Amino acid sequence: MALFIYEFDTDNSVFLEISRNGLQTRPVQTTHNGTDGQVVESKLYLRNEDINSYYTSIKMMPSPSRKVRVGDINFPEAFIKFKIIIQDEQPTESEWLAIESGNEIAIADIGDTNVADNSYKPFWVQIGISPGTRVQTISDVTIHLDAEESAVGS
Amino acid sequence: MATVTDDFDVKIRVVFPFLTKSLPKDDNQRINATGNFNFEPPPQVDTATGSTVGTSPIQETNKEERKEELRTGLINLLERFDKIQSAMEKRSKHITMEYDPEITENEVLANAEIEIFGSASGSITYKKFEEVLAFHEKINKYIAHLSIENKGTVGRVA
Repeated sequence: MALFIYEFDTDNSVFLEISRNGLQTRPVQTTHNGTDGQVVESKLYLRNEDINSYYTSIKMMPSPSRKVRVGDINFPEAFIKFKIIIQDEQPTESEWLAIESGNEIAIADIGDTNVADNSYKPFWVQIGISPGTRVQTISDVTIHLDAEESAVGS
Repeated sequence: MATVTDDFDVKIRVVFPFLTKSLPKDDNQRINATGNFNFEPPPQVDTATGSTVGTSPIQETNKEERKEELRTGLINLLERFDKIQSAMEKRSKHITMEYDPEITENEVLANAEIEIFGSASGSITYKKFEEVLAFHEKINKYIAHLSIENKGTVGRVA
């Protein structure tokens, strides 16, 4: 798949590719005050790297549910609030409150049968840790991405 | 058409509050003081080219925190300096410079002591030194007073 997630390095004005499949070479990294609890928001970008492919039925969701579905009675052990909103501007508090932690988000098609779209598509993630969370590093949470890949011109 | 899937890495660090003061710059910019939302506008990025249109604003709250830390640090430093200065003054009262007024090499020193204190004792204490400074200051004030009275003609009193 040629869909990648990036963060923007404001110091050097470059997009940096987020690592995949547990490599952890450049994860989406956040740091939280575990005593008081803390919410951290980050702007990321989705981009198609391939000029010969386009993508449809794109869906993105925080994973695994057993850790991020806070408030879902089916996952009582979940303790990480993890939300995604597809937009350029930083979402308002009410916009964040309108979605559930761990929700699957649908993304508009990137490119079509005539042409690939290789621009950066901005989105925001909000990750929250509740007060009283013990000191730890959590690296088994991911942003899961599904899509239908097709060749341009097919 | 093929179904594709991927999992992008996330690392969430949960730390003690004091550790948050040394967070990477990017993380600090994302966190606001209340732990809710950062309403500062992010840098504007041309999503097609990747070029930055604006610059990233530094959180005002972080600036205030750093100012407060600096202010506290300076106050602590001044308090320590005052203590050291006070201790030095106490110790200096016990300093005594001994010299032999009979030796030719000390003639100048002996004459100075005679002129000021009336005799060459061979012992100059810090207390004596302070008295000289106070005397010197009084003389300066007197000269300044004369200068005003005589329209600036110090040394040529009518």
